[in-house]
Amino acid sequence: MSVLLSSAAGGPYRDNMVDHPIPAPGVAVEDLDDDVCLYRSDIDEVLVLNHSAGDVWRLADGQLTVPAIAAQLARVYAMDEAELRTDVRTVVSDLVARGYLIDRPAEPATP
Amino acid sequence: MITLRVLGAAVAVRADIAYRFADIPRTDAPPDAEVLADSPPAALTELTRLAVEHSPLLCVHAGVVSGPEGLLAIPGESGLGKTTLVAALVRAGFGYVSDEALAVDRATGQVSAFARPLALRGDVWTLLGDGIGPAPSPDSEQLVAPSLLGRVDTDDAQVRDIVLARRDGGPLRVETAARGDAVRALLAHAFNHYRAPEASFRAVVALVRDARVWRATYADAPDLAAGLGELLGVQSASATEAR
Repeated sequence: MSVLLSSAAGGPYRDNMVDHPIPAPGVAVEDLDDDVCLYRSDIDEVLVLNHSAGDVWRLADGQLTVPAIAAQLARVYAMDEAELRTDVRTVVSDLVARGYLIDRPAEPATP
Repeated sequence: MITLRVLGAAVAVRADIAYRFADIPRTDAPPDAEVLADSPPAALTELTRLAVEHSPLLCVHAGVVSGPEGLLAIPGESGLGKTTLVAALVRAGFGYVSDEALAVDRATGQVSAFARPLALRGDVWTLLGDGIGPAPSPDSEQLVAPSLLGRVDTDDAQVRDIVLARRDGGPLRVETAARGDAVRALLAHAFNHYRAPEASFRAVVALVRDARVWRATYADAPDLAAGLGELLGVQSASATEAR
């Protein structure tokens, strides 16, 4: 599993791991064959995710944790979950660092 | 002054220069801008600049020709010799659409032609064969009417092939490429996608989604033109007459 990158890291990129990944605001998304094309207009960057990285993106809906994403993909791909968890963590971390994923905003505390 | 319809904009040009741009359609619409340059080559440069500036279309720096199944677009990488390549493609039997811009309606995906004259250097003349007039000196440029090179095609059509070309001096190689690479290349060479960035991105993806994408490396424009002609079933007029 790997992320096909359109440009080198640096500049407007973050450096965080997240619990419940969700697309960052302002990221445009288009499916293209089995890939997913992402576009950040603020830095005019196109990122193309291959099939497997695209599956991680599609499951990053703010409801699933990284382990839960890995568990779902392990069932679909019939692969070892522990091995996939490392790959999923890498993809998510990469996309967070590049500003395409963020952590789900915390819900306001009830009084 | 004569007003020309260029990339969806209306640009006025002095009549004595406009006749050199015979393959660009006229319009009665009020002009968005006026070309002030007084020599045809300078006027062509300014016409292009003003048209892109006022165009409501997404304009991508690319050569565009037409084949039997639709348009072929070649994003304008640096050092490509795009105009020479387009001229060679037209000589090889493709229809001339533009040597400068792929102009796309962001909402509909419709492509508009920009059949401007080609500014060709003297050292390119011998590559293109006979019938296009006396060559200028090797280090000077001359405007060539597209109709002297071959067929001019201003009919609306869809992009069916995108070629990511690189001139590396080696033997011709043409192979399929990933569509994502074409998305990156087209946006990287867009003149005005910043006006509507997200709509431009989506328009480019929609265009690429319906196209075949190729990667080509080559030494000379006629080599690539012949190779693409064979790949896409295009024959030059001279080859057709010889049969």
